[in-house]
Amino acid sequence: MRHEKLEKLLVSLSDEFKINKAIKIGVNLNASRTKNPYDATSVLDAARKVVPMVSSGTKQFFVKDPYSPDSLNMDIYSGLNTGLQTSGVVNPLVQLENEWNKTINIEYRTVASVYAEINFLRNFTFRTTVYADMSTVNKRQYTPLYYAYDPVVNSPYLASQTTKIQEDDDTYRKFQQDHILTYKKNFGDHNLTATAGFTTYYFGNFNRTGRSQQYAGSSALPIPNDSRFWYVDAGLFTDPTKMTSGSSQSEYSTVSGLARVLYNYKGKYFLNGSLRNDASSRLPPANRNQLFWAAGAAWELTKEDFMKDQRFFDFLKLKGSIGVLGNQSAVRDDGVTQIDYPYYPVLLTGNNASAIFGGGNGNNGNIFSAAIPDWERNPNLKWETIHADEIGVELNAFQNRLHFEGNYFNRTTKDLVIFVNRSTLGLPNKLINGGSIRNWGEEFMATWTQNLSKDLTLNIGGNITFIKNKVLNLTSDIPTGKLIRGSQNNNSAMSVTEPGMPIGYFYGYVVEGVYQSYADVLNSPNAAAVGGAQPGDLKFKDISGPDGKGPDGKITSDDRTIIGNPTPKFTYGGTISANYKSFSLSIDVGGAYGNQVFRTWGSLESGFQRVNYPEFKINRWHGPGTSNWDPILNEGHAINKNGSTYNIEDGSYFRIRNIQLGYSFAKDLVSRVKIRDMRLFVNVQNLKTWKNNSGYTPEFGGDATSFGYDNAGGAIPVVGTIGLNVTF
Amino acid sequence: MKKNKNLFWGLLLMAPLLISGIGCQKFLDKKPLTATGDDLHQGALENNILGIYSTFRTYSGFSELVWLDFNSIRDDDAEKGSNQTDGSEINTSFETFQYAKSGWAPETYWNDHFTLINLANAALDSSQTFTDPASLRNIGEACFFRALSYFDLVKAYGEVPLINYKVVNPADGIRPKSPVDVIYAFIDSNLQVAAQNLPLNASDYGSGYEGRLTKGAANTLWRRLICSVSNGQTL
Repeated sequence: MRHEKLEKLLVSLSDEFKINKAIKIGVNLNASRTKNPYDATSVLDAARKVVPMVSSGTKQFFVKDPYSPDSLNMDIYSGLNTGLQTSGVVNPLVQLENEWNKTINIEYRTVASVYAEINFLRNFTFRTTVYADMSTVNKRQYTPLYYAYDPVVNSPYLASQTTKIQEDDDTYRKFQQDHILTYKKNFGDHNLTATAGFTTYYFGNFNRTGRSQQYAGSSALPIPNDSRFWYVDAGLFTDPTKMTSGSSQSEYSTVSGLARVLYNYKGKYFLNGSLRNDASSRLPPANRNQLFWAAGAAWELTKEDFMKDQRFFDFLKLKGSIGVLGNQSAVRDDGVTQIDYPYYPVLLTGNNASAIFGGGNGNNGNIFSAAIPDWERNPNLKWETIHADEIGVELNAFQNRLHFEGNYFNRTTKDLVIFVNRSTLGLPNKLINGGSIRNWGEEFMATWTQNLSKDLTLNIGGNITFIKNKVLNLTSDIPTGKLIRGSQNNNSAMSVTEPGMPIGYFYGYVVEGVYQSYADVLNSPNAAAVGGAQPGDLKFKDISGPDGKGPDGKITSDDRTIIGNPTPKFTYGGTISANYKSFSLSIDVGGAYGNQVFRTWGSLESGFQRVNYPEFKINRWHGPGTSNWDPILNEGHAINKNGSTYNIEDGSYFRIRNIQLGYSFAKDLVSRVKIRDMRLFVNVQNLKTWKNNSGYTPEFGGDATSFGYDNAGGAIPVVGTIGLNVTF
Repeated sequence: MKKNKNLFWGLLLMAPLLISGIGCQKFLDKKPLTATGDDLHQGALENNILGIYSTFRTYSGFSELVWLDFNSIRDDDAEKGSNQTDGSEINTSFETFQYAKSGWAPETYWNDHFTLINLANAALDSSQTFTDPASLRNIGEACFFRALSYFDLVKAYGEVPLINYKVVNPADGIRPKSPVDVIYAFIDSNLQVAAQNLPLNASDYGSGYEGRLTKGAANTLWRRLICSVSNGQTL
């Protein structure tokens, strides 16, 4: 991907004073200015959709300069012709190459904290900290005038005909205050630390947008291609009647009180307990406060007398913990959009919420706005709680060269906050506490450090996490007993969450092959209910009928079943690092194994946009015996647009996440120019991925109940960085 | 002296704690910084009804391709436009009549009609005690929309579940299909109420409401209903 570049300037300052022996005050300040790169994420998806007949290069035409009366030779990118491809398919290079340097996106961010600490009565410490994180993102976007050419008739046309400005100012304000009182005392072999505290957090986001454009008409002056004029009001160039503005804003806050006790006996037996009361502005006032707790214990065996004589373990600790924590955030059914006020459904605005009467003969009619809430209010909404238990072991052995940690964990999430789409019942959406799920598994982590010589140190580490999950129950608010999340054309890409099954499993038909002939269609179960079968179509397996008692000789929606699980069996990572004199090298790798990916592209896309076919369609069925897996290329055959095992791919992968080579300059050399430390490094992220699926990447996100979909996006860039760290 | 100084600092540091402790409730009362249902106080029923008109105007089950699929493309009034491959599964369903149960159009048509039915049910549920002329008109409008939705549904699907109450618990929204006769009788009873309550002219609603439902609309649908029932028998 071209034209993604990031520049960042950071100033940081920290200081601490001691007023007297008991009191100290400190400040930390970080100020940065970041020039964010042009967002080109849509480019790869658009590039995939466009047919290869459209050239990715330029062609020279003699055209009129859109900014002046002169004519000149210009290198122009190819556009599309409706005879070639329709409905929103574009050559992304036309926009990218003409607009990538026309956006100025700068973030100014200041993160500061001030603290004061006072020690009194010998064992007490009171510490107050106030944090502020304030940032403003100013984005100025200019749409220039540019040409594209029609590849069919081979003539240039003005692809962008109007210069426009969009200016966004997004302000983020985050404030936090912590007041913590600590009591610390040793009674002989008993050591006690008790803490009580109070903390609040505030988050505010305020966004404003302004848009303007040049005057209409052939004699109008375009807004010049000069950043000096890229403001909503560029004087003479912008038409005041076409200026629009908008805003969006939200806030939330939390208040917590907490208490914690840590106790240990001779540094051998450890006990801890904590209690916290959290309150969130996002929940209805009646359920706003909730008490959470945690308790833990640990035993350091290597401090026991009976371990004195052994030389194998340098350190050995057993530990266990149990506790309950809360989660107050909620997302919409797209899995991304945060719901800021779950308790207050926002009213729909504009076209989706107005009745229009009258009109005709050029009159647009009278608009009457209607109050339609975006979702149904749920006065009983409460905290989602996470009940976590964990036991583990931690040890060092072989003269501390080996460090190992092993844990078994069990996390049950209760009262899961889910945004349910109830349109199949013709009911409005609702945010509910929908049930509980359990995640459990084991985590292991080990590192080995070896000094091979005086100058060479080698460090090898690895970790692996085995994870399983299961839905325990769902509330009756979900009428079918299953939470079904559909996406894509006809909602045919489906994730189902139901008790006793893995979370968000993929649901669909099992492909047995491809119908090779009419005789094959006639001899197979009748598929009329799923769109009717013809030779070349996917042949689904007859699994069950409406009575749930095995094959019924018909392919219907009852034949759908579990076809994949988006949760990996295990994920793993590893690090190798070596230091040789002033050089250092580190390599990070990672991956996942045993999950499935649901590929929606190349099969379930909307029937109204014809996109380029993926490479594997070369193997499509095009006559008896040609393929028993890839169906015929015919958009009229709706049967092939059902989600099935044809969409399921192996999601296992292995990736080199990071490689860094560094060189530290000798201290005595740099200290002559008053520099304490200087280090030069070269870093490459995401260098190489080995995967089995056909998408750009094997890693796909989502939300709690719908994830693992490959919608042809998510390409992970290879990022190269060269840096110099200087500490004065 | 030193002790006093420490006390002074201690109190100074405690100050924000005390202030925030008092202001907690207010700090947590965060309402959206835009309009919500709580900020409206005008006639609730009128708003519900305007919401039905809005849904009727914007949902594709009543106004866009989905409606055209069932009511124009399926007969010979219209054909799917654009080129051969563009949305060609529409032809499979509505020209060669091979419907897929989970197809976009059949599913959307069903969902959108039940959305309108539920909105009408909700409006009627809240209107039971109203007797003022404006509310009676609104009741007539809700009954008309319920009748229209069921008329569309029964023509397209035959037997459909009869939901004639406000669905509070989602499980109540799942019912077995009712016979066609029952649905026709239900439409008939709704149109009777609609014809009785709707005004003669749209201008009776006030100015600017040209095209809003009238008695004439209810009577027209009523005749169409009677024509649809076999042998023109009375219901």
